[in-house]
Amino acid sequence: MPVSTRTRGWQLARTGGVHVLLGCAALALVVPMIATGTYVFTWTTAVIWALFAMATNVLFGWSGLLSFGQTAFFGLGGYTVALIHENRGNVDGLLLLAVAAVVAAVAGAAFSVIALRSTGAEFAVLTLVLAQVLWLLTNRVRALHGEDGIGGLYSITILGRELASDEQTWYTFVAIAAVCCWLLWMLHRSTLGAAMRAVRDDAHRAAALGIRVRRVQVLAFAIGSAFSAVAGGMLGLQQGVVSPTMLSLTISGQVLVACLVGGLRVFGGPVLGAVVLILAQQALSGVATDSTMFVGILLLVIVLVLPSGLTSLPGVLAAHLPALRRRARGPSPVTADPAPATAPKAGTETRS
Amino acid sequence: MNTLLPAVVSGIAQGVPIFVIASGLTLIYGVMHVLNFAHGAFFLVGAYIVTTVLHGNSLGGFVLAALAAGLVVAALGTACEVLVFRRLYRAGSHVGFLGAFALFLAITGATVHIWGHDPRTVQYPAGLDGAVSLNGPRVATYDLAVVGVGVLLAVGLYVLLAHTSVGTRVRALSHDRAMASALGIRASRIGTLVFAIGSFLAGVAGALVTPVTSIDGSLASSYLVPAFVVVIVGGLGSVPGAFVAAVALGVIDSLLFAYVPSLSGFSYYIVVAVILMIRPQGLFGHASRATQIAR
Amino acid sequence: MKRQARLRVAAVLAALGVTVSACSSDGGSTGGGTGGDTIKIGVVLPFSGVQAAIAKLEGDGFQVAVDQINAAGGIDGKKLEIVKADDQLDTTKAASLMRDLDSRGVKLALGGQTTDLCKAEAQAAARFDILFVGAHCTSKTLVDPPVSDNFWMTGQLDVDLTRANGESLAALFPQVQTWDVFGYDQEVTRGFWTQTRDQIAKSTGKPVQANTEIYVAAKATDFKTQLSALAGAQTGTKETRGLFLGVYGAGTTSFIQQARPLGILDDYAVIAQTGVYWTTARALEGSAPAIYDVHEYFWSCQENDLNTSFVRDFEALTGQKPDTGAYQGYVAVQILAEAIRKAGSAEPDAVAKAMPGISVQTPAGLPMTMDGASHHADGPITTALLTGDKSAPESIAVTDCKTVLASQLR
Repeated sequence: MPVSTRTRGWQLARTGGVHVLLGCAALALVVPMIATGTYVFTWTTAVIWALFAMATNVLFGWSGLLSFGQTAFFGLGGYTVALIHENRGNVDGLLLLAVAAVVAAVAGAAFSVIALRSTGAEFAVLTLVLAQVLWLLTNRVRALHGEDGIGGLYSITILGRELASDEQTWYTFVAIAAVCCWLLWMLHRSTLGAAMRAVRDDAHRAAALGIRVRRVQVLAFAIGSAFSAVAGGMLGLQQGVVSPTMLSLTISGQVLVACLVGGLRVFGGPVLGAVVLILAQQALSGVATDSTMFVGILLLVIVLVLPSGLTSLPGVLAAHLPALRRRARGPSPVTADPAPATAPKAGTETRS
Repeated sequence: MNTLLPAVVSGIAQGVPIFVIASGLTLIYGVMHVLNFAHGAFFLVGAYIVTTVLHGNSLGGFVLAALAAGLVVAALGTACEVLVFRRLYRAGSHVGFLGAFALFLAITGATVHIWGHDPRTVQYPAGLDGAVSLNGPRVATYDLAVVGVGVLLAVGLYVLLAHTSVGTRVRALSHDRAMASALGIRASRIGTLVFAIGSFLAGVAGALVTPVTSIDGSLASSYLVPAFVVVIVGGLGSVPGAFVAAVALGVIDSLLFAYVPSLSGFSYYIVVAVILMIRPQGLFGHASRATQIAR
Repeated sequence: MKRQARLRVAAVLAALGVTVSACSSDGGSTGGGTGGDTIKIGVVLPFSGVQAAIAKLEGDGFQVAVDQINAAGGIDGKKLEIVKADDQLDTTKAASLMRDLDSRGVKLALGGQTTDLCKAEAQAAARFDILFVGAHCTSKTLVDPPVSDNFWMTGQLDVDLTRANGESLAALFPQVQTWDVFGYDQEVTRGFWTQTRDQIAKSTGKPVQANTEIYVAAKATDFKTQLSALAGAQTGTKETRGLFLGVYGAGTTSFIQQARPLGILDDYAVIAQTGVYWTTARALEGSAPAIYDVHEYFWSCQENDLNTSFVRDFEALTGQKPDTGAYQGYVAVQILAEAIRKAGSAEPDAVAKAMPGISVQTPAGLPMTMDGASHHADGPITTALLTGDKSAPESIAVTDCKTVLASQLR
């Protein structure tokens, strides 16, 4: 680590979550310099997915709850924003996103209170059922316009201004994502965050320590749903349209893949995973028309080589670094004659 | 009363093909604790193999094509297990899921490159293209044949699991992997065998649905979701559970359609929600330690 | 151990390399720029995914039109050039697509496979001042008023399609008084039935009886239960019964495959459908049942020079006969080209000003005319009976054709 973790400044910054904000600010400034046109847009999509993946990780990596139906809250967020905008017009985009978050939090809490009677794969399938039911409802409920979707979201204003250009959209979304990530960081560092990790690692022991396991899980689910909905709302704002494709199984699968590829245990892992996934998809679809196969192969390579995700790479390297260093120096001094008192100090050459 | 019997029969006909897919899924989960997402891709490949191999519409040709599909997919599944899953067991079940998803994408993506985009159809095998009348309402002969095949497979699996030494080892492994390995059961070899059998079942299931539907990329996910639901309702790892669940879900769906049509389409989801509320581990599943704490 | 570590590093670097190339590369060798001798037009279709087969034929229709125009010297000496864009049937790709086209210097685009895609693509195009022609869009909600000012629609409205269908059915099958309905439980498909039914009633002067109406979940493909119910609930004699299908794509194929053994297909004097039956009929390779279909165009329904050259050139390019999708692409390019000619420029604003009133002859034998107020083009609609026939081209025999202009139906 380049910065010593022992300095007070660093400790304070970590506690206050300043490094999250600084990181986002740096990203916000750097990307428009290196990327142009379509690529700023792709990066904006990557930021949306990064937030979505971070939200999913609250349930998945932090609390150990596997959910196949995260697209339900993603789509719920998008549709909430679209429906309110369609029926009420002039509501500010930030307020729309906040409402979407609250709606999803309530829905997520209500759902998980009932569904958490099951665990593991059964729970995952219940979340899948939720997503499928919502998808079916888009066709059954007239107000949701079925396959046609709900459009006109480009006219939503954020703090009075429409999102007229790519750059504007980028900065706005990075700002929103930064605030959300900061909130998540504070959660991560809080007692509730520690409780989630305890529940993930061993629910029995956590219960024995007095942690209300069910309550922690419901809260994790609700928070994860809320931020997933914010991400969904942001996607609607970026694309101008919400439609039932926002409730497809592919999205559920992709967000889990983003978390896993990035690494579940590191705070920023899902962000890295989402960015890699979105950019790789963009790159591969430029290369071949039917790029699904290549995306699958890329994921296979990543999962076989780094099962704990890309963020585990430093750890892997650190584990193997001594071995690499030893090879460069030659055979170990231990194999040489150990007897003489004037044994050569470490670092000097030995007989080869 | 006139609607009850045909509703039940068509419900069974609807459920049994799902059982064939679900049986492979649940078998693999029981031993390897991997929810094999790639199963949908295996199913699709099985269907495509039939479209390539089948010429004409003789019954014998169809049976051979179905067997070929099963064998090719079994080989594919074995390859996936050896090359991918085996390396991921140590890393935990989540990573297994990621590997399965990656395989799903890779294989379904490959089918487009191999077989193209155009949807395909297959004719009914000769002799099975008519219908049987049950006091008026008709049921397709082919559907009854598929039910027959499904029952045969269920019986075969039961005999395999309960009355052969291989089956005993499989069951031992799914109950307690550590203990079984300690007792000398070759976990990796049995695991590969189970994967091969499960994939064979997926391939045969794909072959069985070819005459009744359009064969294209959407087939992978459209049958996978009901199969997942069946596996969960039946209880993870339980093949008889999958059979009961598949038939029950099919019949309930059918009856709901007949008597409460507005709920049709949601029936599978309603049933799984209700069953899991009453019995969180599914009908025949084992209550895990984690489930106990959740209550 | 060390080799494993090196492999890991290499693999991760490869993964990241792919990622970095996505940020820094410029999206292919097609440098942008409108200056020069070609007019670039974007074709936005789901070239990958479940509708890829349909999209390919549509894309070929665009290509034939462009090739014919270029062979005749182009527009004012400039040749047309197609730039393909794959929206993967996903509205969330629409916006990035339009952006991509804009960065490649494309200011005129056509396409739009489904209503939500048409909406998303039209609105996304508006942000870049790209003129977008909805060649395959069919929804009334997109025009009058247009969903965005830059959007012009040449696809015929589904309300007009159903009216044409209803009129023809009333004329050809006057003895059919009772209808069974089998469709997806979607607003759009339910609408197809009610509109057709109302038109039949209007044309015959007699009310239409709906006997059994069965609606299945959207995109479902397993109909055993429903078909069993349908087969048991029929009334009257075959000559008085009709079946209306409100399914499409894989749903139609599954319906036919599952209905066939039950004898349902033979129980009706006529089976009617609105929308794409052509691709299903082709997939069934000669065993497709006779279905009375309405769409904009069936290749053998008219004899005129334009059609002959269209079919000939299409077959030369693809080896197949054109379907409605290809025809839609073809006429959309004709309309756009005519507007460019009239405007004397390929700038979207000038072309948009030139659009109202543009009229072109179509291979369907009747002209298509663009209306300035609604941004919708009034064009021909064809109804015909499509039957599987191994000896016919594409294994589909086309009979009982009737072509009308959409405006004549209102």
